[in-house]
Order: sequence, then C-alpha cells, then structure tokens
Amino acid sequence: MLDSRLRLTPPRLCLTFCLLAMGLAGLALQHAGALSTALSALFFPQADNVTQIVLHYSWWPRLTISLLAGAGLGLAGVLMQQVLRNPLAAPTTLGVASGANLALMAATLMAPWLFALGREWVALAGGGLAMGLVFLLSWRRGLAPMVVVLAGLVVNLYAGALGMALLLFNQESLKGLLIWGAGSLSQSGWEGVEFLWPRLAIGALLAILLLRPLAILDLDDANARSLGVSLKRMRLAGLGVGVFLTACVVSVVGVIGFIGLAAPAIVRLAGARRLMQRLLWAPLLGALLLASTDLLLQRFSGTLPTLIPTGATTAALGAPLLLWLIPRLALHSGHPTTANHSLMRRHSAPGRLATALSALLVLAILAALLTGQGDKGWQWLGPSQWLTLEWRLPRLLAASGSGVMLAIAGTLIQRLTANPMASPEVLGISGGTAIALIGAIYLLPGASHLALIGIGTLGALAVLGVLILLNHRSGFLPERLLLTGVAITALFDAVRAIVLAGGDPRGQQVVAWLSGSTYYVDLTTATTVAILALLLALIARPFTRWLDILPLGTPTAHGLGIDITRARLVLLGLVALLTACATLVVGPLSFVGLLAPHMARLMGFARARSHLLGAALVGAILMTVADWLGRQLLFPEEIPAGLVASLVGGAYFMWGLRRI
Amino acid sequence: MFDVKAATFEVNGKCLLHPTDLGFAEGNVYGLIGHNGSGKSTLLKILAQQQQASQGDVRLDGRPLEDWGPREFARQVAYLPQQLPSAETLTGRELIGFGRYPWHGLLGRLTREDHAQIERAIELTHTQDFADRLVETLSGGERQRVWLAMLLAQGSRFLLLDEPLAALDMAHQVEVLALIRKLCEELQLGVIVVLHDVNMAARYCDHLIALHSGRVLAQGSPEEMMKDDTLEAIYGIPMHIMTHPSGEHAIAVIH
Repeated sequence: MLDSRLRLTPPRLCLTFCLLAMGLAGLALQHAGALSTALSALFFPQADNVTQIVLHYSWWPRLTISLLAGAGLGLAGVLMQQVLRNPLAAPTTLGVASGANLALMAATLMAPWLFALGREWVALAGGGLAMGLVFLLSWRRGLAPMVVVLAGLVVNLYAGALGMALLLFNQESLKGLLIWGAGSLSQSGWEGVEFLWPRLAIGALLAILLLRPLAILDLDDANARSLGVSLKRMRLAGLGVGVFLTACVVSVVGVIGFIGLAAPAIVRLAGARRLMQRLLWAPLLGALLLASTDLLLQRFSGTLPTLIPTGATTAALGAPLLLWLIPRLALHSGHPTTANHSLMRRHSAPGRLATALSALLVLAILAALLTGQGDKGWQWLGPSQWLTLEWRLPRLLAASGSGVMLAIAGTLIQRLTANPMASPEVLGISGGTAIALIGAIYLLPGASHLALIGIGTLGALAVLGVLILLNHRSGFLPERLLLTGVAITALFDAVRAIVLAGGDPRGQQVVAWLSGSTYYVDLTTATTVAILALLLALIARPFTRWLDILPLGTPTAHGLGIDITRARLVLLGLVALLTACATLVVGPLSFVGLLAPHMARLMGFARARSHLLGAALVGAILMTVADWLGRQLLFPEEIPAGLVASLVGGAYFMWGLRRI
Repeated sequence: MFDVKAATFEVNGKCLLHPTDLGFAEGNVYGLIGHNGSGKSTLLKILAQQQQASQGDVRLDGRPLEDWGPREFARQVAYLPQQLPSAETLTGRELIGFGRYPWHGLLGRLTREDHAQIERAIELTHTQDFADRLVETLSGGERQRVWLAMLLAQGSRFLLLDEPLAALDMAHQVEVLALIRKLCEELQLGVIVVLHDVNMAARYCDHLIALHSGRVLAQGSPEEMMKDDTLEAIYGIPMHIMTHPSGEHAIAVIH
C-alpha cells in the first residue's frame, strides 16, 4: 500500500496537470512578453501591436477552446460510461464523431453551399443523424446497454468506412478535412468559444439535473427499476446529453479521441468512485489534459516539419498516463453486469446452420474465382483463361484466411473479457503491427516483403509483451487488459494520424493498407495465410471448454478448477498470434474482428464451439464477398476489401439488430 | 477435512476476518450464521480458494490449500457464489455438464461416468423437467436448483454454498436443505452453508458457527446455540426461543 500522503487522488492528479499547464502557458507567454501584457492582451488588445493581436485572437482562444473541449469530452465520456456500464464506451466509439466527420466530407464533395450555414451545423447534423440511427436501432429493446453498444459500434464503423471510401477517391479535395478529422484546435477569433461555452454550460446543467437518477444506474436493472427509475427514459436522457456535448465539441474542433474515454477511466482508477466525483473530476482532468497536450504541441511544433493536429496527439500524453496508472491502482467497482437474457436467439440445430453457411462460402468462392469483369464486361472464366486464376486465387485465399483469423480472434477476446465492445483491434496488437509497418515503409524504403513481415511481427510481439508486463500482477483482469489495450491503440492511432496529416505521398500506400486491401498479396503469402488460418482455427478449437465457462465469471470458473491466469494468458497469446498474422497481410480490419462474432451470435450460434465455427464462416464469407465486390463495383478501380466488408456487413448487421 | 488455523483476511488495512481457528469434517452440515458483513462469505471464499487468506494456515486433508492444483482442488471442493452469473444462452443440462470440467479437463473426452454423474445430479435436484430449457428462461428457484445440480455433478467431497436459499420460496428452501441433508448423509459430503434464517439453519445443520464483526462469536450444536442470549449477541436484537408446536425442536422468534 502506498503511503497515504503519496497516494494518487483525483484532486492531486488535476493539480499536477494544472501546474503543468500553467507552467507551459507561462513559458509560452514569456516568449511573447511579460505576463501582465499578455493578460492585458486578453482583455484589451492594442490594435497596433501584432504580438498582442496574435495573443488576443489566436493564443487565448486556443487555450480556452482546448479547456472547453476537454471538459466537454470528459463529461460526455462519464455520462456514456455510466449509462452503458462499459469502460470502453466513449464519445468517439459510438458513432457521433464519425457521423459528423462523414457529414462534413459529404458536404465538401456534394453540397459545399451547406457550409454557408456554418461548418458547426453540418457536423452537428451528421453527429445527430448517426446517434439517431443508433437510438432507432436500439429503441425496441428499451435502449438496453448491450444493444446501444452494438448499434453504436456498427454505426461508427459504417460511417467510418464510408468516410474512408470517400477519402480514398478524393484525397486531394478532402485534405483540409483530414486535418480537421484529426482534431485541430487552431482558432482565429472567439467565435468557436462563443459557440461552445453556452452549449457546454447547458449540457453540464442537464448532467447535474440527471445526477441522482443516473447514480441509480450503478445498481443492476431490476433494482434500478424497483426504485422507480424509468430505465429507457433515463438512458435516453443520459446518452442524449452525452451525444449533444460530443457533437458540439466535435463540430468546433474536430474529432479528438481518447480524452472522452481516458479522463473518466483515469479518475476512476485514481479513486473517484461515486458518480458525483467522476462528474466533477473527469471534465476537469479532460480539460487540463487537452490543454497541456496542446500547449506542449505548440511549443514543439516549430521544430517539426508538418502541421500536427492536437487531436492526434492527446493520446501522446493521456495514454502513457493511463498505462502508468493501470498496474498501480485497484479498480474498485466493476460495472454491474447487464443481464442480456433472451437478447440472443439460439438456433435449434447449429450444425445445419453451419452447413448452410459452408455452402454459401463455397458459392462465394466459386463466384469470386470464376466471374469478373473484363474488357468486354461481365464474363465467366472459360477453360482457356485458367491463367487468370493466378491473379484471383491469392486474393481469395488472403481475404478469406484473414477473415477467418480475425473472426476467431474476436470471438476469443469477446468471450475472454465478456465485453461486447472488445475486438482484436482494441488490444493494440494490430496497432503495434501497423506502426511497425508504417515505420518500415517510411524509414526503410524498398524493404523486402519478408523484412516487412518480420518487422510487423516484432511490433505485435512488443505490444503483447507490454500487455503481459502491465497485467501480469492483476491476473489479466479483463477490464484492465482492455484499458491497457485501448491506451496502446490510442497511442498508435496518434502516430498514424500524425503520419497521415503530414501529407507525405507514401501516406497513400499506408491508407490503402489501413483500409484492408488484398492488392499487394502474392501467391506464396496468400497460401501461407490460408494454411495458418486453418492451423490456428484447429488450435483454437480445444479451448472451447474454457471459452464456455469463462463468461460465467471468475468465481464460477475458479470454482470449477480453471487456472484463470494461465487460461487468460494462453488465450491472449492466441489472439495476438491470430491478429498479427491477419493484420500483416490485409491491414487492420476492424469490422470482421468486432462484428463477425456478434453476427454469429445473432444467427443463433450459442456454445463456444459452434460460435467459433460460425464466426469463422461468417468472417470467411464476408471477406470473400467483400474482396470480390471491391474488385467489381467500380471496375477497373478497386475498393479495398476491408471497406466493402464494413459496408456490406454493417448493413446486414443493422438489419439483424432491428430484429432482436 | 478442512483445518483453519489463525487465518485472517484484510483489505486495504481493514480486517474482515480476525484470526480464526476452525475445523470442518465430512459427513456434517455446517451452518455459517451472523449479521451482514460479519465475515461469513469471506470465510467461505477463503475455504473455496476464491480469496487468499492474508495470514494463517488453511489446509485440506493436511495439505495447504495453495499446494493443491486447481482441478485437483475442484474435484474435492465445489463452491456456489452468492450472486449467480447470467448463463446467457446455455441450457440447464449444458450448465450442469460444466461441473465435470475438473474431471475431464480441457481436452479429455466426456466418459460414460461423466454422463452418469450429470444424470444423477439432475435426478437428485429434480431438474429433469427444465434441464433442456435455456437457463435464462427459468424462474429464480429453478435456476438455483440447476446451479446446485452443477455443483453436485462436480462430484466433490465438500460443498461450499453462499446463501443458496436467497431466491427460493419456502417450499423450495425446505426442499433444497433437505436435499443437502440427504446428500451429506448418503454420500458423506461435508457441507458448509451460509444461511440467513436461523431456524432453517438450526433445523438442518449439525453444527452452527456464528460470526460477528469478523470473529467467531460462538459455535456448537443447534441445541447449544438456540439460546435467547446467544442469538441476541449474534444478531443484535432480542430473540426468544420457544418449542415448535410439534414439540420436536426449538424455534427462534423476534420479540
């Protein structure tokens, strides 16, 4: 136990960051002149002094907006995590931000006149539409957290994929937005602040009004209901306020990820257990975290070659802090688990269902191999053209193989953590691979394919090492494991966004790889992937007993004699292996890993063994069809398979959600 | 045989269980009674190896608990947590089948013995009628009995039950305790059960252990324990002992 004087508490944490921010601000102001003149520039700028004008119209608004935006995101994060009872819930994971982003992209390309109304309103409308869709999908289930989370995830991925597709084909016209998309706090006056603060004040006021009923959500559903809380109305109100806050912030400063997730998580780790405390400290910490990051960035941006958006770097400060905290502090209260009974159907004959899916897979494979567009339009592959297979086969193998691997990895991690938001990507493994590969693409021009694969594997191994190092002592508690993974992922996302915002032409190759393309795969690699997929699927199969029992919770699993730490470690290693293999070939495909397991569940695969099989089949079909469609839709142009998978699979998944 | 010697349990410097010495033998039903937060569940969790004792020595058959392998231990001791987890989309029979994990492990096949044990557990708990329904669709009492069946399928020598009656109506409470009593006598099981209802405890247990603020306040046979002043000390309210109209055993009522 730490000495109580040294123990980290939310106030101490905030004070530290406050001092840091003030110190940085002081340094920056010193640069511009004496503190008193800087302060006077805030209120009474002299119109003939350039420094004072810059301070008044750029520096001070920027500081203010970073504080406001950080606070708003922190508050929104607390509300969403409270309502959804999931530590991974955040403003940016539920579709608001990507909806706003998509609306801006679409408006830029198709209806630029909309911007006459104000960029904020376009973004607000986009975010609102996305969240409206989420509410619509989960309305019949009384906005049950599980359904809201699933709907939010799919809407987020869907909007993100659409945005990515637009970006891929219009990179030049959307370049400015790319910087906004990564969150830029640059200000040229007080309009942003004037737009944001009254709205944040309204949001905060509403949050305070909701305090008591929301605190009851700490109990489980039955208890909350018996205390006279209308769960549906409560969730709608809580999420509504959270969404409103997020949309306002996003519309002004762009997508600033991580703060909304990290600030609530950090104050909770530091001991703010009650909702009141979290509502107070999380916005404060969020504000200070964002402001400090931005000040640091401003200080050092002069030495960097490109303009770096702040949103991309918030994780640079927050993620190490979260990683540092996770092994040190106890997580006091887990969120109460939500009974999701009768949410998922159970198929009476999973064997028949699997057979039907296998038949579908064979059909998809035949279609992908034998049909396609050529110079004379659609055509079947005649016997004289067998050579074409040489081009089609590798892509088919790579797509289906990686689909299988990611789907299995997703099933494993979701059963291991009993968290529907968990995906192979969340663990940071694919992030690690991605960063290692991006680094290699930039630093080692002309590196061979084999060297790239080796480097990517090293990246994945390094992340796995960090995960194990930080979680070994707690016995790999799922919640900690996921938070660690999220922090690592955020760190890598930051690097990625910085790289992309730089506008380097090599970025195009990175974007193509990130969206999951099978374009660069050769036959040897593809065969290896397919064989590995089969092999690892066979390896995963014997673990089904653990996968059946682990979701019942630690006491039961322990009582039945499972060595939980070892089981989690083994499964984690397997997930890492599967994810790394798949990511190396086709890039980080978030959709398949996250939603193929859910799709299998929705179809009625219940037991771990059939769940694994179903998810693998769904993953293979989805990727095969997506790869084929991606080649045909805009022939002779191509859309990466990962994007098509998100678009096709997302549509199917939303249709499936509607029914439960 | 469980032996507890000077076992304590602390969390954040707060002592939840003060040094405790106890012994539990097979063929007996032990009832843990006491007010909320008296340390009953903590003691049970230490015995079940759900928590490590902070200090002291806990042994099963003379071997320290931590020397037992997880599955080896689960073949001897089965534990039912206070809050039953949601079993999502499992049927009763599948859940009961999980009880065989300590025997077949991760890779072993389900033998005829395993199937026989599962059927026996279903029969003993009278869960035939709903063994093939989804656990989530069962009523609270039915669900409790399915979980109890899973414990029985585990085929262990000790059953540790943390408030197994909470979700049951009167008839099922009696039924479950009678079942536990019967199992204990027929199979020579050692049963340690946390109970809130002192009358139920006195009627079905061989030995009562009363905890108060993390200490063993009193222990003995139900006859020794069913005294006005003992019960008042345990529960902190005046209690009165009278004879059941049938004249066979004592019952406690609140003044």
